[in-house]
Amino acid sequence: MSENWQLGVEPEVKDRAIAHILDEGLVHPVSAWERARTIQRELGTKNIFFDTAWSLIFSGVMVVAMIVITLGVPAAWRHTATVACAPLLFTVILAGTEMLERATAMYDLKQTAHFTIRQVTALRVMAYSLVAAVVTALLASLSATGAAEVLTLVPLGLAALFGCALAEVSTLRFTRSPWAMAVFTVVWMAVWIGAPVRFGEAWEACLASLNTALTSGIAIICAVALVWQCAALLKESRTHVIPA
Amino acid sequence: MLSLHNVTKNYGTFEALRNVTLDFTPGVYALLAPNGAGKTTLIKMLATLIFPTRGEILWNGDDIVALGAAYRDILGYLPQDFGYYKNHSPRQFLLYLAAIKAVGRETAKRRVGELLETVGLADVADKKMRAFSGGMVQRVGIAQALLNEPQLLILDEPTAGLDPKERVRFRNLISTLSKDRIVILSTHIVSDIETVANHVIMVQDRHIIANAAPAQIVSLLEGRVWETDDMAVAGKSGLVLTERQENGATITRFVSDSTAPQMVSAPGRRVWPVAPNLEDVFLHTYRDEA
Repeated sequence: MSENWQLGVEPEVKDRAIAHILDEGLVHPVSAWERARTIQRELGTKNIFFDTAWSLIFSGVMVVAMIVITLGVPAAWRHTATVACAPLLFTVILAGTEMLERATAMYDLKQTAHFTIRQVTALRVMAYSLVAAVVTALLASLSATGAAEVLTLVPLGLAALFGCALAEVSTLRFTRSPWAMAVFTVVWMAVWIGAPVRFGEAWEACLASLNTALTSGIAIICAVALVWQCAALLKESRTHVIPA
Repeated sequence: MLSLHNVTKNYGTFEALRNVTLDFTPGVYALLAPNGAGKTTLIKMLATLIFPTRGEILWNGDDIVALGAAYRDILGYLPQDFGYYKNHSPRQFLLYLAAIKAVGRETAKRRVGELLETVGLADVADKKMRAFSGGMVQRVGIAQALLNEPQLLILDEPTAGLDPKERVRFRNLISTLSKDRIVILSTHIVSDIETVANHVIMVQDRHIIANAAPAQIVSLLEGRVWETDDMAVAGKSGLVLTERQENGATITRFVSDSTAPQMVSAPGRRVWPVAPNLEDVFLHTYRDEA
């Protein structure tokens, strides 16, 4: 490789590239959505969630816990409970499946397959976040005492859910340790359960005072950023190979 | 053809491999190196699990990273201690891996059946892997690496846990496969290399120090390997390689640069030259390594 590489492309490489393009024609780049649909179609739901039964069972337990806490909590702590519970299902199920995947060299093996484990994980994240969003919206609606409170609690719960999901998927993208996900989950829960313990009623008052437009905005921004992170996982383009 | 051009890999300030240049054509290549020499780093780069800090790895002239899924489609990889799903049968497990390797459903069913026969697991194809021995699990691993009929097969310690019969079966399989594809083996079992490898690549201190046929590698010690029943001679004359008991005497194998180490032996003791083997070269080359 000559020094010209730094400045541009060597003439013979350029000629070869032009000849290749003329032979093949220009290929339309595949979008993340098309890629996701292809993976879903070719792998099938069964293989996307292969060997995730334990995490799914555990997540069932989490849903029960969410129902008990959200519906059983006194009205004075409803906002606190919504924020603390909304991410539970998502974070536990994703941390569980990802830790099991990363615990063995199977993770590396699956990274060398046509559909890499990180691409499959992107589809799992989409599925888990959709289910978690529906559960959060349902529970927040059921725990609310009136329509006005539904409009407060649902965006608040969704903001907490998508905020957590975004932080967790970012952690997933940039770490390889199986413990990274567990540490994330424990820290997240400690912060959001610890805050009301530390600040008491002031914390609940703070959450209750949040503007619906603000919480809706946070939920939408975090959801969009989450989709962007999933798209990055689906594409997994690596460009940091530096020529000699 | 697979080519590495001046590949260097750094982990922060630690340099794991430096300026590695290699060409692979169909055949069996054995990576021989002690732990920590950079062997796993090299294998992981070839499997696109990590990426060079500098340099490039090309498959038929195209960068393997840019090729993406197209490169992974021609790759078969068996990591060391690859892990498996205890609650699934080998057939379920292989069908799952065939799916993520984008092998068509009908082709996958046929291929899984063939491979289970090949690795001698057809009679336990539908039994849960929970009760499998280490050797059986390893055979499942070998089968998965072959699912997509790879042109490049990378096997990290493939014979670990296999009994002698299974090992012979594996060597025969590798010999058959290597006729039209590149097989890269990383192993500590020197007898595997001597039997099947066309090329031995030795890695030491982040560099490739040898890349040649086993016979050429072994010839490096031609005329320098001796055995004796006088342990003192071995100690005086050179590097002790191995010891064994034979007819009540301790026979010591050693490398000596002296043309006649028998000159220093005690009266009544014997010193005789022997043909070197790959294990001698390994022990001699990596004598200072832990």
